[in-house]
This record gives sequence, C-alpha cells and structure tokens, in this order.
Amino acid sequence: MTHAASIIFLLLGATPSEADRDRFFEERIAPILQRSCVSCHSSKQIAQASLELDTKKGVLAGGESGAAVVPGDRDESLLLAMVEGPDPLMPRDRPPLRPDEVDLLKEWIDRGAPWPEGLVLRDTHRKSLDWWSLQPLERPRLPALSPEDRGWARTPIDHFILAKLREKGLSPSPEADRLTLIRRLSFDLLGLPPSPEEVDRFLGDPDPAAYEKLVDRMLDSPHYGERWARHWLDVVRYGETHGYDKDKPRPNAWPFRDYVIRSLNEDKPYGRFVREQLAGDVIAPGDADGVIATGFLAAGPWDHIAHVEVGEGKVDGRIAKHLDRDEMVSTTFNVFMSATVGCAQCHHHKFDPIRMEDYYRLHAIFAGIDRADRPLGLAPTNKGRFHDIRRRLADLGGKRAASARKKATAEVAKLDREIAALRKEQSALFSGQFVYAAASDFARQGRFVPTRGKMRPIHLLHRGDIRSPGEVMSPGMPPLWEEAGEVEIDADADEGSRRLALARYLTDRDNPLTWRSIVNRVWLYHLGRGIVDSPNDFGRMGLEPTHPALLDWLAVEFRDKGESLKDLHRLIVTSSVYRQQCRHDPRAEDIDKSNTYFWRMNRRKLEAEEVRDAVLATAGKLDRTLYGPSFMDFVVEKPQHSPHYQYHLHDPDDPATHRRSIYRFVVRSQTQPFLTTLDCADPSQSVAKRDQTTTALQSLALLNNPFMECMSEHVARRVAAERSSPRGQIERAFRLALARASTDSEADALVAYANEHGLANACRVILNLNEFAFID
Amino acid sequence: MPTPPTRRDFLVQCGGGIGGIALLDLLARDGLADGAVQEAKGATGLHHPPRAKRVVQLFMAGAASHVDTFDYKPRLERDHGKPWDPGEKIELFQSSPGATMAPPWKFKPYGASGKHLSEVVAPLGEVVDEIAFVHNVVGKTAVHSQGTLLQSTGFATPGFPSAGSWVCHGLGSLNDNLPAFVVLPDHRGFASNGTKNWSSTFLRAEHQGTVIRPGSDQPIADLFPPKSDYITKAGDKAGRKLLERLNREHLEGREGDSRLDARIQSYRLAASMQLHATEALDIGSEPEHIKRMYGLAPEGSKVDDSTINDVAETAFFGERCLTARRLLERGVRFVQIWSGNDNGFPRRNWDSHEDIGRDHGPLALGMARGTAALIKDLKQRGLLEDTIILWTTEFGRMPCSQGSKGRDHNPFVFTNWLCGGGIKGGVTSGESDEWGFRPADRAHPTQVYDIHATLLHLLGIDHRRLTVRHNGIDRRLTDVHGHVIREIVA
Repeated sequence: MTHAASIIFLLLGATPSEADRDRFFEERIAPILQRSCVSCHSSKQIAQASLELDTKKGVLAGGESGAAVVPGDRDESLLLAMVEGPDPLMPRDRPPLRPDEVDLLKEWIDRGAPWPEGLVLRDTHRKSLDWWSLQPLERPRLPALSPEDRGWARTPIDHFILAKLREKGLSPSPEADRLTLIRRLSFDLLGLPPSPEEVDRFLGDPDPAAYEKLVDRMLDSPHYGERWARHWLDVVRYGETHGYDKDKPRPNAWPFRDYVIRSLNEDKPYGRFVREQLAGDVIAPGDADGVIATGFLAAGPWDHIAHVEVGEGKVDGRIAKHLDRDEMVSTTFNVFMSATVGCAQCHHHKFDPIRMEDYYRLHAIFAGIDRADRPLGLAPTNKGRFHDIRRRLADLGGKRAASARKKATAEVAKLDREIAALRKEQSALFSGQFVYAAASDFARQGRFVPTRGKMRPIHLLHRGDIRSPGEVMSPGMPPLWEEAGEVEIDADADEGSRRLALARYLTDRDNPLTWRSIVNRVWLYHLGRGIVDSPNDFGRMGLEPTHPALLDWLAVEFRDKGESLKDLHRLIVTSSVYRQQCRHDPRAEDIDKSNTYFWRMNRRKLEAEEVRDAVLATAGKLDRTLYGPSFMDFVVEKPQHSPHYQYHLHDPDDPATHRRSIYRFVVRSQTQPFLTTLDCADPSQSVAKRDQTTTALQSLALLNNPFMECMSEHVARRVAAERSSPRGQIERAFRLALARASTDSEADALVAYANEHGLANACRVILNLNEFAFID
Repeated sequence: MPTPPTRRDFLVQCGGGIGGIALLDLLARDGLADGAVQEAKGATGLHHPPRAKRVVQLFMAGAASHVDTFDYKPRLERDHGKPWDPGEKIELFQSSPGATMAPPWKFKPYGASGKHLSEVVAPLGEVVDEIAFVHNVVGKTAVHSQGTLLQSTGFATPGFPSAGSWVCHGLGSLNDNLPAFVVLPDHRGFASNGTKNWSSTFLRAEHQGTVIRPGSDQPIADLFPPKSDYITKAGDKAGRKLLERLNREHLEGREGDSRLDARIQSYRLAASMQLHATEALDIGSEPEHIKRMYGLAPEGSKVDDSTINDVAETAFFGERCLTARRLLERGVRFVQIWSGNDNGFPRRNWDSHEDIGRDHGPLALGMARGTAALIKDLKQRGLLEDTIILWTTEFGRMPCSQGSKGRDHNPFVFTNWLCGGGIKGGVTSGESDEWGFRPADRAHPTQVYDIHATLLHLLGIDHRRLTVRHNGIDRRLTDVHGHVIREIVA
C-alpha cells in the first residue's frame, strides 16, 4: 500500500468534504512535494533556506524569503514563483515540474491549501544508481589500432590511450632517453634519486629488456614500500599526535606505518590489505599484523579533552564521540570507495544514493570501538609456538579435569604447575609492544572508558544533532550496487562481526567502486593525473573518467589477476604512455592544454619528503635503516600540559634524524614547517592528491632552512672527499643530485663560483636548481 | 631566450593574484558553473562592491569572559553570592554551577552611544562608538579545541581552511612582497589546535597563514640564512644570479611549462621579501608617541612576565597590534592576532577557571590598550574605513562562580565585536539574557556562520558563492549556514 493510500485509509472517518480536500492533497499534491521538494526542505534535516515543506506549519511559515504558500493567494505564494516559468529556480538539480503539476499546485492554493492535520511528508527520493561509477565492472574489449600504431602499443593500456589520442587528433610523444627514464622511475617507485652506479649500469646495459629489468629491481627494493606507503598514509590521514587541544603524542602509532610498508613490500593482495585495515583483529586473532592494521581506523585526529576530561556522561562528550565516529565512517568511504557519505549526517545525500539511514547504519558498525593503545599480540615468528602451547594447554586442561574428578590431588597439583609454566611462556611470546589502533578493550583514561564490546545505541539524528535523536539504527551498508546482496547486519551482531561485514562489503568482487578507486589512485601517482581526477570522489560531484574503458579494464585486470599492486605498477610503467618525453608541443596544447589524454608525460615536482630524502641521499647522509619507531626532528618542551613541538631547536646535523621522511614523527598541531612549506600533506583529512604550488616562502626554505644549510655543506664535504679537482667535484655533485654529468658551461660557472664563495655555496645552488626540484 | 613574464603574470599563474583577477582565476579553476564565472566578470570581479579590503582578527585564546568585559549584567552585581538558578539543569565543562558572581570590575557608560564597558577594558571607551557588539553568539560545545576551530575555520573538527585562507583565496594578495595572510601568535605558545587555526588545508598552500614573530632573528621562518660558517651576503647574491642563469638554461626546450618560470620568479620574490619584510617589521623606526600609544616596553618582548602583569601584557599585545598596522599599510590582506597560549599553567591565557581578577585583569587591559591604539591609529591614517577588525574567542564564561573567583566555560552565549570598514559603530545587535547565560531570544542566536557571512559580505563576497569542491562536497567557510547581520552593516 502506498503511503498516500494508507493515509486515505486512516482518514475515512472524516467528513466528506474534508476527506475530499485531504484526498486531493494526498493523491495529487503530496507526490509532487515528496518527489521534488522534501529531500532538501524538511523539518527532519538542516532545511535549505530554513524552509520546511514537509509540514503544514512549515509551508505556511515559509523560510528565509517569506511564506511559501498563502492559502487562496497565488501571487503571494512564493512556492509558485520558484517552480513556474521556462527556467524555474526550483527544484535545483532535478527536472522542473511539468506544467500540469504547476497547475495542480495553483489549484491547491486556490482551494485554501488544505493539508491533513498532523501529516508529515516523507522524502520518497533515492538517488538513482544510474551513474558511471556504480555500473557493474566488465572487462572492455581492447580498441583496435592501425598496423603502424600497433608498433607503439606495448601493453593493453597503450591501446586505450592511443585510440583516444587518435580520436582527439593527437599523437603520442617520442620515448624519453634512458637517463630521463631512470630518474623518473627511481623517484616514482622508490622516492629516491638513482645512484650514479645504478645509472651507469642501466645506461650501459645492452639488453633490449634493460628497462624491464630495472623496473623489477626497483620493485624488489624495500625502498619501494617506503615510497608507496607515503601515498597511502596521505590517503588514510596518518598522524602521530591526537591533534585538537593539548595534542598529546601517540608513541605507539608507528607500527601501523610499518605495517603499510611491509604489506606493500610483500605485495599483499589488495583485498586482504583492505580487510585487515577494517577488521584484521577479527580475521586473524592473535596475529600481530591483524591488530596493527586496524591502526587505519585510529589514524585520524582524536579529541583527548572531550573523551578523557569530559566523557560520554555529558552532552559535549557525546557530541565528540559522534564526531569521532563520523570521522571513521567518512574516511572509510572516502579512502576505499571514493565515495562521500558525510553529507548524509544532516540530510540525504543531495547527489549520490546515500540516505541518512544509510549513514547512521554505518555509525552502528563502529558503535563499539574507540581509538586507543592495545597490546600488539604475537610476533609472527612466535606464532607456531603459541599454537603448540594452546593445543598442549587444551590437552592438559582435559587431563586436569579428569584428575580432579578422581580427586587425585597430587596429579592435579603437578598439572597445575605445568599449566602455569606454559601460560607464562605463552604470555612471554607477546611482544609487550602496544599499537594505537581500533580498540574496545583498553586501559581506562579518566572518563574515557572501554566499551568491552558493548554497543553504544546509535540513533538517526535529526539535522545531525545528538539532542534530536530519532529511531535506533541497526548496522548495515548502503546498497550501492544492484547485486550488493546482504547489506543488513544482524542487530545483535558483535562488534568485530560488524566490522568484518563492512570489510567484506568493501572488497566484494562486485563492488563497483573499490577496484576502480585503487587502480585510479595508482594511475594518478604514476602519471600525475587521475583517469578520474577527483580520486576521493567518484560520485556526481566528482569528475568523470577521461578514459572510462581503460579504468574498467585496469580494475578488472587488477581484481581478477591476484590483486597485485606490483603487477599493476609493472603494467603501467612498462607501457609506452609512461615512457614518453615531457614534450612541449604548441599544436597538441591547442587541443589538450592540460594533457588530459596523455599525449606526453607530465613533468612532476618532487614532493616534500622526496626533496628531503634526495637532499640527504645527495649529501651521503641518508640512513637507509628500515622500519621502527619514528625519529623526532623537534624538541618537546612543556610536555605535561600541551607539548610544545619546537622544530627550531632541533639540530639538523643529528644523524638520528637522517632517516627517510616516512619515519618522521608526524605532529598534527605543529606541522613540520619546512615540509609544510613544500606542500606536505596535512594529516587531518584524507589527502588524495598533493598540491604543487610555487611560492617565495618555498625558495626561502630551500635556501635558508638550517637543514639545507647543513646538508649543502655535507654535499661539499662528500664530493671533496671523493674527487680531487674542483671540476671533478662539481661533476660528481651533479651526478649525485641530478643523475647526469654537468655540461662544460655549467661546470665552468660553478667552479668559478666555488673558487670565490666556496664549494658548499656551489652545492647549495645545485640543490636549489629547477632540475633538482622537477622530474621530466 | 623567452621574455620573462611580468610579475602580474606570475602572480596570476600562482593563484595569488590581484583582487578580482585572482577570484576569477580561482572560480574558474575550481570548476564552478560557467554562469558563476560569468557573473564574477563584473568591473571589480567581486560579487558586489566591497566595503573593506583587509581584516584583522583578534583571537582571545582560552575563552574570554563576556560578562567581565563587554556584556554588562547588573543582575550579577545585585545577586552576587546568591545561589544562581537559571531554571534548567546544566552541564558545565569542569564544575557544578557555583553562586552568582559579580565581575571584579565596575562598568560605566562610554561614548555617545553610552555603551557600558568594564573598567578592565576602559581604554576601548574612547573608540566604543566605532564598534558594533554582538552579545548573542552561541557555540556548539564547551571543548576548547572544537570551539577554537569553529571560530577560526567555521567547523568544529580539523581539516578545514581558516577564515583568513578563505579571504585570501577569494581576494588574492594586495602586495607582491609580503604574505597575504599573516599570523601573530602569542610568543608563549600556540593556542588550542596550533597551526590548524591558520591552515589552508584543501585551499592551496599559499593561502595558509604565515607566522611572523616580530623582534626575533627570524621573524619569518627561513627569511634569512641561519648562522653559518660559509654563507655570506656576497655569496648569496652571486649564488642567486648563478641559480637564475642555470635555471634559464634548463628552461630551454621546456618553455611550455610555466611552473619552471614561476619558480625562477619565486627566487626574485624571495629576495624582495627579505628587504620588504625587514622594513615592514622595523617597529623601532616608529616615533616615540606611537610606541607610547601602543604601550610598548623599552625592553620589547623581553619584559618580565614571571608574574602575570598588565605592563607586560600591554607590551606584548601592543607590539603585535603595531606590527599588524604596519603590515596592513603594506598590503597584507588578513592579520590574525592571538592573545594567550595553550591552556596550560601558569595562566598566560584566558581560561580563568581559577581567578578571573588575577588572569583576565592583565590580559584584558593589555588587549584593550593595544586594540584601542590600533583602531585610533588606523583611523588617523584613513585605513579604518576599509579595514575590518573582528574580536573573537572560542566561547564565553559562566555568570556563576567556579571555586570562589573563577568561571567555567560558557558556550551557550558569548560576545564578538566588529569595527571598521562597512560596520555601523556604536550599536549592539543581539543581547544575552539577564545573566549573560544564554541569548535573550533563544530562538534567534548569532552563530559564527553569521559573523563570517558578514565579514565576507563586507569584502564583496557572497558567502554562499565562494565554494571549493573537496572530496565530493562544495565547501564554504559558512558550511550550509550563515546570514549577513544587517543591523551592524553601515
């Protein structure tokens, strides 16, 4: 029975004329308002223009601009003015009302705008699934190429790229030389400059497959995981302090960073990588990696004061808890599905098929967890022994029970001793290390109390206000694709099962967003521009793919061939599209100035961490130790209340801080000034794409920051130790910093400058070159 | 060799351009509908003619008490020491409501408007007719971090651009040689959330606030080389020349990429900033009567504050105000001045849970002296007419006592005030109730969105139309809220 019909049924007792008037409203007017108006103008949500068109009171009271309807007076009824005419202002982003619908509204107003007493209209609109990113994934056919074009195409990717270029009247650029390629590849895959020895080896390799061999060598390097973990940590807003007031450190956040590096180096299948970050502790209980992986959920900011000092006993504490859960929900969908759900906190998503109910059902998934330190669990090497002991203990437990029944006291005592010893050994297998992760059981801090798995009740919140709770929501996921299957989670499901259900939903083979999302991210980092250039949003507010077939082909290939990121990298960087020059071509620019179709390679500015790491590498100071606790390039003052993170007191010559930037302790309230100036990602929100700005403050930082001053001198000392002639020293500095030898004119100028102002100053010039800052 | 672009080209390329050009450029870049870009192509490039060009935001960190400073409540004097009963159950941040507490200071009327001010902000009496007070501002929670972010960025959670970043994003820079958005923090520490209060987040990095520490060796980070065994002035000068030559050679064959050229220009701009910033921050060159007016101390920021006192607080805040005036004169668009550090101890912040008289006293007097001097000085230079001054804090403090002399947080109502370009002086819009506990008209409070909407309105920007799409949402400074407060617009 339709909603309108049910109302009619209920109102049968009314007087005929009144019933007629009500029926007219319910059958003719209500459907128009419900379909076209109420999703934005509702008393249940933050109403646009403060106008509520779901109640009689709201319609008569009107909004910011005055009464929407004045019964009996068409001219004074703003509602009509908004929907009438050839280009009506309303409804926004929806088809205009049909003329006969406008006539009905007029008739309704003429009749005195009857509205059944107490009736509240409901939004009947759900945005349709008819949108490119929600279509089922199917493997597209490769576009046909002419015989001569087939020679250019090395991989299926190239077929899609070249077909589109031809369609647009464009031609690909010639292949870059080996020197350009090795520098490009080295920063792209490792985030480090190639060593002069590696350059020589590649340039001198007569093997036609020298490039492919180089790619393999780099993908096998552990520095690959460090470089690509930086991308992932940007996306998952990883930081090592809480942020907000007092900004306390999280000394146990780093194992999550190491987990990401290790997972990438091991080429863990992507689906598993995703599932672990949502529910690793449920998938593999007792496994250290499983617990650490949920550091993803905890990685964002956390309001210490509101949780610890205020607590959920007060409204302010409950608001903070709600915002905290919102942060987890919104980030999870941004990161894994390139979908925005946060808007549905206050109203149904205006553009995408996410309703308020969907959003609060997601809250219910996270209703039992918080962010806190939890024990790391087993080190991987201890796993075997742990399970041996577990089996032995079960065995002994049985024997003890039998002995106890027989009242064999001596035997029981002996067994008890054995059991205690094994228990002790078992607990020693745990590392004693904690990790900051998703947690439901942890040491109480002030008013911040663990749920121990008890679910907080989640209500739908009218207008997102915790003081206006609606019905209790059971956990579940938004039905974003036709075959989404089970999106409801049992209301009685325990905390872990809820997250596990979400993890499975995210990595469902048929999930149309997850696989497209990740291949697009990888493409963006390699090519400098996404196929969808709004990588965190594939919804109607995002951009559309420039190469939809390529995106789908990559997603299917990736999903169906082992979900291997390394295979995906290999596929992309060995393609001809990646090996092109950064060519300047006015004719091509006339057609496609922003290189949307990849007729050349995009020149890339080094990211902040790459600049720092490359400077250290050039100076011979880079400590390549993998993994472990973060280094701090600041001095902490006044740690008792609000720690002051004092970067200017740090000695840049301290070797303990010469590790790669991925191992830097990331403070939220006082971001590292040098890297922040160089467009480093802000760890407060998911960053899908770094800015590339050019400012005077960047130039000042690269010239004058104490780190640069110190390292320029180390470059000078290094080349002075390695080469005796001034010319040889400049030449060497060029090879280390730029991977190429200096030209005669460059060497002449720099040697002359070094003679007058010293080699350190000359090295400082080299580290400030455009060529150092950009990758062709 | 190609012709180097003009400075104007450079600024436009870098998105930090001049007035309407920047706005237009940004609107286009942010992918607004063609209609919006078309609209913006008016004579000024703005949404409507502006009343002001520059903003000073004065931020009292820790939550300044409205009832002890600007919001006169005779009832508190009358009922001092009596039980305080607002007729509803309330949860305070730290305490249970104590007795009604009178301010430690007397109020009296000032100016033609007869506005009552506390004697602890008496220096502002001279300029009170320039000021529009809003006494019914409400916050969202009593938590410092969220309250501070709400006032500085319009959102209670981190990750959103500062109001200053939005203004610079919308209007660009008025000068070539100084940052457009400058922050003058309390030298004793950052407030709650630290640099998040002036971050540009998803707006471009050039719109983030640049911290300036007047009087220090490096007033702007890395403005000058650090202590060095090898860097010399002559070496620097020759080095930059060589750098430019080598960069120009690198440019050959890469002419199509304007970023490379922009980066060459940015080194010239850096050199220029060294000169101009030094000159701009040289408050020693100010005449004595001006230094006196701002209450500067001869020993500068070294003045002793081992016990909190008004001489030191005046000197600190006055130096920031005078620095702000010099920066505004030289085309800085947005200056954020902080009073108070993190909410630690001993209190050098407004979070007076323990003793209003002891801590608010020197802080408020210092603030009032510096601010009054700034208003008068801008006025005598003809700059007040197109500079907006906004006084704010994260929330107010309760009319009841905490302990015997302190006050707990009051997010239910507090005060903001504005003066300068386009503001109607000598008015009050929005009253609090008889205690200063909640808005007098609870159904119609003022929110930070309204303050920000008014600010943008006066700058020629419709707050609903200055949007940037980020992670799938068209973000605004005012979220989905905000109404211009017409009563305070001249």
